[in-house]
Amino acid sequence: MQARGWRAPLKDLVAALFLLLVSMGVGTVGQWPLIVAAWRGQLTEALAAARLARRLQEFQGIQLVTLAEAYALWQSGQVLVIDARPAPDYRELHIPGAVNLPPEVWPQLAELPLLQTLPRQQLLLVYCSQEACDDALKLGRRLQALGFSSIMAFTGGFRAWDAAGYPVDTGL
Amino acid sequence: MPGTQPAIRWIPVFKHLQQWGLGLPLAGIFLITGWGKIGAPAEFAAAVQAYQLLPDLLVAVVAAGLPIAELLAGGLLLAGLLAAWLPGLPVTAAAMLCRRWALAMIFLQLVIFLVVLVVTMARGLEIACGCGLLRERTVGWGAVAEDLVLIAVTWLLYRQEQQEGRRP
Repeated sequence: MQARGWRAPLKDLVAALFLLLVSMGVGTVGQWPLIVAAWRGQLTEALAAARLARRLQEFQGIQLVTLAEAYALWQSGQVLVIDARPAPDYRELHIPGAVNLPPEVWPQLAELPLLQTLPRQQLLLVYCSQEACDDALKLGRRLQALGFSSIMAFTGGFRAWDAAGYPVDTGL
Repeated sequence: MPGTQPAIRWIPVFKHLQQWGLGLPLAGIFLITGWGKIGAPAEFAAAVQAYQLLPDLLVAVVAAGLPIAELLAGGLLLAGLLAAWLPGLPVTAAAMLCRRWALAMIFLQLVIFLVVLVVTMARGLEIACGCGLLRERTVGWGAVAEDLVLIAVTWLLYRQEQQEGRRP
């Protein structure tokens, strides 16, 4: 009687393991190009290319800039740098001169005095935390909808800026 | 004892409430997260890669297979719940098996993910959890708590299935 108590869950776990393995097999066939890229040791490059292709398609009209380009733009002083990360991250460290527009204020962007008075041709450079995050691009799209025409997104994000040893600022 | 009859009648009602109230959201969560990941395979693979736990080939296999496993588990659970609800269908035993296998699959995935979360936190990696729910979160105690709640719900539902299975 005692043995019967654990035998059924064990059978269910074995069945679940089998179904998981079947899922892996089906997924492997369905995503064959991804598997081949990984087999050839090119997974990182394949993922970066796929991400870039998706971003170009999804966020049309927003120019993607590299770390060096972002630094040159910041040095020129002609660009308004916008930090799209949550407020605590911004307070901890950010690019000097950057304005924080965290995700919670995005629904009310049109009501922000800063954006109401800013010329629509103003160069805007938006960034978020790191390469994989899309928040800078999502914010860029919202700014586009408000009429801003020169939006650039630094997709390397604050992590790449900080890692390069470029200046950073703290506080508000 | 006619006075005890109404109380006994509440037991199946509570059982169904628990099964539907917990089972349907659980199935929904797995269907939604699985579907979201299937729609963005490269993003999910990047999220798996960020954990730095697997070689690239296994990252690709897990990223390709896990969304299918989530859809299968959510789908089986949903089918098992719906089949039990449809009157007059001779599928009770099959429906119960569907639910049990789905819950076992969900339990396995959640426990493995819990281990991955704890190991990642111990290594001090601050990365997106890649959980695939509506809001993206960083690996941390919030994701661990969420995972533990889902494990508890799964365990509760599985225990209920076990008790039902033992009933003559």
